Amino acid sequence: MEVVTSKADGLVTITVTGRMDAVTAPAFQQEVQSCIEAGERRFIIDLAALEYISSAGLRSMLFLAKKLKGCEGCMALCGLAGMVKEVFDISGFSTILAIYPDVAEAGRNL
Amino acid sequence: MTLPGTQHLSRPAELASLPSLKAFVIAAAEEAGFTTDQCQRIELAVDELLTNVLLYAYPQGHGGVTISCRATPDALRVTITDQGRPFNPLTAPDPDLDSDLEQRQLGGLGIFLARRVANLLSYRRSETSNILTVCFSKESPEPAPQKQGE
Repeated sequence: MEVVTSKADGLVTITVTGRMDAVTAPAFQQEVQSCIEAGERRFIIDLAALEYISSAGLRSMLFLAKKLKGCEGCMALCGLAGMVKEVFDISGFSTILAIYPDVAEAGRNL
Repeated sequence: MTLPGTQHLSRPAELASLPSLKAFVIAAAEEAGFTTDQCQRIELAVDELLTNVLLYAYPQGHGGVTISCRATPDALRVTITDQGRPFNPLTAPDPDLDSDLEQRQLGGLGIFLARRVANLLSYRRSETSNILTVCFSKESPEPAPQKQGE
């Protein structure tokens, strides 16, 4: 799994590629946490290139969403498709996290 | 007892073993003729069940986990065996899907997802081992928890 971070106009975009499971989710979580510790508060998590996610990945998303809410930050996910979208849907996460079709739409709503 | 056509893989019960254990099952599923979509579901169920074993079966130290795959014309049976503390993951309560962000708990999701994508999930405890069996059918598109048999 690869995590690429870019920043512009006070907005951090985290692009995730590959597969997120119990082995790889910690690296993703750590990257976002490092940004939060550095003072960043607005995040777009682009999952368009994420092929697979397990509950470990969902837990990371939930952990980060709660953390950001607690420090008046915000997080939007985008690019969910296929099995990844299905996992978010059946776990009920699609209704409690801010999810948009793409980066542009996510940016407009953050 | 080893049934003919069963493949086994044993690894230390640590997170670093997850990729090779998953690859083993996916290869067996592909060889058995499951579609790409079905293989993704198989991977998810096995991932969730294995991760629990790798993280929680041996709280005091080290141990092993064995995964066995047996394909029949219509199904794949995967068995996950460990000699860790007695633990039946099927008794874990479902997460509350209706709670909001603040109330939603971090745990409970793995088994729930495994149940949703597998056709049959069963657990038994032998004198020394936890034995988790998960079956995947080629035919039914939706999980059928009541379905029995090969």
